[in-house]
Amino acid sequence: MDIAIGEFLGFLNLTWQAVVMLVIGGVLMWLGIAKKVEPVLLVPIGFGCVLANIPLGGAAEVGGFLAVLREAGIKTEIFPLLIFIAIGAMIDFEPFLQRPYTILLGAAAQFGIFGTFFLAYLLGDGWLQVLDFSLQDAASIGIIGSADGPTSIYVATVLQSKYTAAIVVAAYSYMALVPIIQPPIIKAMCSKEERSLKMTSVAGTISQRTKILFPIITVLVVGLVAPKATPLIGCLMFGNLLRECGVVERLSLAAQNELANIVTILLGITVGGMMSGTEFLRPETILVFILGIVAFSLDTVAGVLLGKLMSVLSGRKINPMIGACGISAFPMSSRVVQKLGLEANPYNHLLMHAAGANVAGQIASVVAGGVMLMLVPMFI
Amino acid sequence: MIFSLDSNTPIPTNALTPTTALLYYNNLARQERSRMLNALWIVLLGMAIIFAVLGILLLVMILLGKLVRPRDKQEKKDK
Repeated sequence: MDIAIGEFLGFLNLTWQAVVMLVIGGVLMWLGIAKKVEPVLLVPIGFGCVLANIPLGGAAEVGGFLAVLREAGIKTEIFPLLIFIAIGAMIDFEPFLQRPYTILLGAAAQFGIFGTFFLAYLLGDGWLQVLDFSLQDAASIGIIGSADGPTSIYVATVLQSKYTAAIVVAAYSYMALVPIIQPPIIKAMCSKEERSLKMTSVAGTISQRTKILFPIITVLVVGLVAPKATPLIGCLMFGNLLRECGVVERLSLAAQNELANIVTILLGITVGGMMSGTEFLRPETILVFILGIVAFSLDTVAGVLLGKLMSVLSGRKINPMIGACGISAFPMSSRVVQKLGLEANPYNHLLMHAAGANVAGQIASVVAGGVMLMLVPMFI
Repeated sequence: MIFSLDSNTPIPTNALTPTTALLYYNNLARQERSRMLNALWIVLLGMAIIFAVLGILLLVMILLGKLVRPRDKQEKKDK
């Protein structure tokens, strides 16, 4: 028999790219396990990354199980949509329904998406051409600013970006880094006096009827004005209807637990499987990560700016910091604002106000994703 | 001979006369400006549509709050 040893011994086929990716996979798992940074996502992503980069393993090659999962779940956009059903079933929109004006903060905080898109396109095919960023790539990179993993996956997949894996990893990693990214920006933009501004609690609760009508009305309004957002907002609101209608508790619990867990496992390992060295290790990937920070920062700046305007217009009844929660990184962003509020004034509890803006940001980011999908093909 | 060139196909510099070179590079600059203008339109239209959609949603929610709450109060009174 004439068999070369290199044909079946993996380590003899290791390339430097594979080694680097194995280390990155290890770091992601370490962050998840040892540092408890988004473990639910980073552990499967890290493990998928390791599997995809073992030479001759074939897990991520055509016919391999990771490639099959990618074809079935990511390319068909099924995984992010199923995750949205689960998220919808988990989110309580009551803080937002008590303060509907917070939807405007959510809208403002989506500027990070569009600002970053513009910057990425400027660096890419738009003008400077120093990086290989097409219009679709720039839009997909901008969507990291939605601070929403499923939306990022959905938009990057529909627009067929070359950087989907990097975009998804950046989106999920930065959500975990919100407590590090946001506080310096908020502190730089809001004086201690502004940060210590107390907000009065909202009297009364929201009726069950309103909670049931809310997802239905939201789908109709968003779907009829920005139809490309229908799959995303539809799944989010379907999950929420299961939660709020009160007659399908079994389905609601299944969406919150079984569905969420199964799809998270499959999505995480599949995203990790997309991180093969040859695709992932290029200068543009580093820029994708840098632009991701820019997106989160611009989101925060725009949200706080509108928060300041609303604070002035309301006669100092709104703490401008809650504008930073218009970014949809729920619930990390709310916790950041609550912490900063308490630091400035030990009696200043902003959590529910911040949560209102935060869940409003979730809706706004989905709309922003749909709007991007609607506009980009018009200009290609 | 009539022939056409794809706008994305670069023309070898030595194939250009001074006049055609000027026209060619002017055209390239115009294309770059046009691309960035398109990007700017996406930014402006995008933010405008988001505010419009969410503004409509806000109005509907305020209206819904006014329509639904009185009936809840009535239900409480009935109880």
